[in-house]
Amino acid sequence: MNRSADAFARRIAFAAVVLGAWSAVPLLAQDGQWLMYSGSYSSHRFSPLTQINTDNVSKLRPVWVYQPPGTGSVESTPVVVNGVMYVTSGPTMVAALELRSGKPLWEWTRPIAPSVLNLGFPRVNRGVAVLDNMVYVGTLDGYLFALDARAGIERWSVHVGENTVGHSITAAPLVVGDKVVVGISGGEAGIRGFLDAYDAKTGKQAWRFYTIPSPGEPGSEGWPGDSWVHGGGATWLTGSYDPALKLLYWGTGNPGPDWNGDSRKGDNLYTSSLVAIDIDTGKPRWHFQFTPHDVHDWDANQIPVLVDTQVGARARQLVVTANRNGFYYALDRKTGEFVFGTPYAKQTWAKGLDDRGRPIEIPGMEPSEKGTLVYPSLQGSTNWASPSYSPSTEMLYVPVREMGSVYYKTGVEYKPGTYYTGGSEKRLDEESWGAVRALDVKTGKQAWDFKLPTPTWAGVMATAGGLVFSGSNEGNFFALDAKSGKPLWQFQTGGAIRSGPMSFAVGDKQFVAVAGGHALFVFGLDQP
Amino acid sequence: MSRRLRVLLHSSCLTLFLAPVAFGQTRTAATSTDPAAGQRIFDAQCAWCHGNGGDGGTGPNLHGKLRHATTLASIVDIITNGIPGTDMPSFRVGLTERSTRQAATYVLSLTRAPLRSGRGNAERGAALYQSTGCGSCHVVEGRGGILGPELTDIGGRRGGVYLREAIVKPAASHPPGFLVVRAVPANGAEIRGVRVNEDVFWITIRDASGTLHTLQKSDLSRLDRELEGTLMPSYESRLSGPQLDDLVAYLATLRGAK
Repeated sequence: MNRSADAFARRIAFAAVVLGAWSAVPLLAQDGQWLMYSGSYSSHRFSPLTQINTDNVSKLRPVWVYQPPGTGSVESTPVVVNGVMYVTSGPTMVAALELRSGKPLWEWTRPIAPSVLNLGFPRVNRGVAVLDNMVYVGTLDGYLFALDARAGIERWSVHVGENTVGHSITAAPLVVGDKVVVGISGGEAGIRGFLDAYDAKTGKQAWRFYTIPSPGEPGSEGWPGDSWVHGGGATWLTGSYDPALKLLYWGTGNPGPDWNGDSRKGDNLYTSSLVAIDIDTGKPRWHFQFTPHDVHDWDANQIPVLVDTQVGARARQLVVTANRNGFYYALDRKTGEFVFGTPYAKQTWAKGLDDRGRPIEIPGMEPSEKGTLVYPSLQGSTNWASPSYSPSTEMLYVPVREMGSVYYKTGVEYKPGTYYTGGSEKRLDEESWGAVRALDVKTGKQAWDFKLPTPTWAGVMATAGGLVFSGSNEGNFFALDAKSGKPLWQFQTGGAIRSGPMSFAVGDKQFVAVAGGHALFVFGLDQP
Repeated sequence: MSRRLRVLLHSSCLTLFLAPVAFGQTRTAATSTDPAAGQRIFDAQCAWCHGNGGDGGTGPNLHGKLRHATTLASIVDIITNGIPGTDMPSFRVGLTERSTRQAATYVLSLTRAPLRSGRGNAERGAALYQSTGCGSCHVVEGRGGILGPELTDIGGRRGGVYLREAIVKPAASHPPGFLVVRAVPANGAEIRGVRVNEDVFWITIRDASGTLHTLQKSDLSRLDRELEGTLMPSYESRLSGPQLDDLVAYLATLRGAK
């Protein structure tokens, strides 16, 4: 290791020590790798690397670009493990890239026929999980594959869900211990949602947790008749994990049918909820429902972020989330207790939250035959694009969508492999806009707001270099000052950014990566 | 309140007036080929663009022969999948197959009604188009200016009510892609024009003279979007009622390059 590399390593080590003191949740990105979709089990999507910082980010420039085979937008967050980057592209393709040259070591493609269903989402893949010599990826046609990390050769595969009735996988799996945990899409197709865990070595199923209880199970009283059979509650994004509590935190999607709730009067647990699941048994330990009896398609799949902080005079172990329904929530992550919640974006459907966090709904905001104007739109105040938490600023940086919709309710009937929604929306596009919004994690109050021309689909990454990276539909990839939101650097990628930024190190150099359009861009400094 | 929202609320009120007739059809009695059941769906889902009764709005008039569909099956296909390259979206998510077929049946019944000829005379309208100078800003079949939207197939895309409003009150109906913005540089004169492109940091504006201005947002002291702004003047006081009828009649004949 040369001198500068040594100094860089010391900086990384220092950052790791400091962050370790701030947070009891392990931060696994501290050695220059990016080990999983959200960077770490706590899903901070925070890079402790400091080489690229507020002083020099203006000199950031592209180092290499990778264009995967096929077409369509790249929505993946790459992971970097043991000196190799693994990135995915739609419908289901994985590439292992050499970090300095950007050239593929291997590419693996799952053939996806045009007849494969993707009801309610694009034909994309958002990333992989890696453990030892295996790379795990879900496929659009509902399988989980384990690939040899060295050559992209298939070691095992399992059939997770039947695609002909709408099951599909676009989310990155999460590896915990010897298990691979993977969620399922299909909430617009009338599936009964579930979360699966498989043995990482063999692919044998360890457990399945159904997000919709069957008759007699707790929560089933909120599902009249056989409405639970097509109750939705998809698990279509990656969750978080607390190793000390051995709890997975996984968001669930909308109930089915989406906009016509007549057949499912009740709270419809565990839809539009956060569920804390015992990693060993797959049983729920607690749940919190953000939107009971949701009729606006406000999935709660947004990435839950695990934060240790002081709230008032009390040290708290929290799970926080900016929900699609327009409210920011802080929950005790051991018990699920509602600590506080507050609106963080324009919403017109609730007067507020009661002392248990249940929304106090405004009458008449349900979808109707003639149309009902409600904020936020069905895509929500935020969506799947990842937020980021900086232990340095104690701010949660949220990709925000400020948009309203007119919600319609229509008739609905279940037919396997077709939409089971019961309505539609008309978005108010012209009056809409987006933002990267900094929230004080202890209060949910806005610290600053960086406005974007249109509602964003880009994830956010904060760094120990005092930066917040994100992108725009208009192709900008940019860095903001994490304290003030002031823009410090930008690069026009030429394609909409619908992916999450990440950072890694090779030797003595830090890099930042993001997908824009159908390409992956990697940036670095000429002379750190 | 935006124009789109005003149109929606207006159309919703009409829907309410129509509703007693439509609701008279019981759900169980409605078949997949029942136009009355289809009208309910049309009023809620389609009238936003195609106007109540299919008379046209931001979407085309549906009376008479349609450009993209002539049979029930082809109308079902369009409602299900939309028409690529146009504003017609897919309704695959929101409508069941049965509802789609009902709406298509109603649309088919509209197409069998003759296209109601407007009050105007298209030949006189064509002459008026030339003499009024519309072509200085609009292209028809390759000829004309670029400041406004091309009109070569405007009669196939927009209904008569919308076209008339666009001439009389252009500020209330500016088309997509022609957002007017007003930029004030920290050191310089205000620039007002149509937004050609915008990202987070840059904006390009075409002003009324056709000149392009590419501006860095950090150099601006102010940047406003005029959601109801337009560079097109109102012709309400410049054309008589019959002349407006003639001009709308001419525009309605523009159905695409020959």
